[in-house]
Amino acid sequence: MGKRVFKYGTRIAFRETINGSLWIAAGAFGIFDNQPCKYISVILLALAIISQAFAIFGKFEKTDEMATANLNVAKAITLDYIRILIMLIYIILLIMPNDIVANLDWGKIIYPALILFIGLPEVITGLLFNKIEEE
Amino acid sequence: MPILKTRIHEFRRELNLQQAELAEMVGVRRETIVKLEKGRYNPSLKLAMDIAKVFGKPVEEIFEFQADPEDSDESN
Repeated sequence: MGKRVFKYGTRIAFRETINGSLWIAAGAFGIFDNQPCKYISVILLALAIISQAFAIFGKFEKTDEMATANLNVAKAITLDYIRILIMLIYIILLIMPNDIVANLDWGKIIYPALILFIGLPEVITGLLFNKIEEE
Repeated sequence: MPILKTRIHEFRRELNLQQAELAEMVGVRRETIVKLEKGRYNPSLKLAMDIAKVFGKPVEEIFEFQADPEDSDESN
């Protein structure tokens, strides 16, 4: 009895959408300064690793030229969205009064922000890939 | 932008091939054949030639680009 072969779209879902969502959720829980939230964050990151591992080691359809092309388009559009987001954040920081910006706890913001910037592009890429494939 | 029209569906039916079978023969996913039949994906030259080889037809007989009616309206 052979192993089930999953669709390529499933691989992208686990590698991008699910993995990215778990990273974002982990980042969200990481904002809170208490042990339960930190544990939840760690568990979510562990699940993200499992999701990624499944995408790498699971049995999937081979990629083909259309899948490669669609993934590249999804990634290019995602890059545009992330650029816009970074520019918006920068504009907001420029507009905000200096004393507010200076008093922000950057140590607490950096960690979840980094996780958001890892997870968000993955989620966008995965969703866009799915949309392009279905068009 | 020219519109791609294909006769893959027609030739596939002649050979009694399923989409998945044709996909496997030319090394792509079934979804790619679906999109090709709908004219929603421009194949690489290699893929086009591989498909033509399966059907035993020239590439030009399977794939055709037609002018987009909207383009001719804009130029007028």
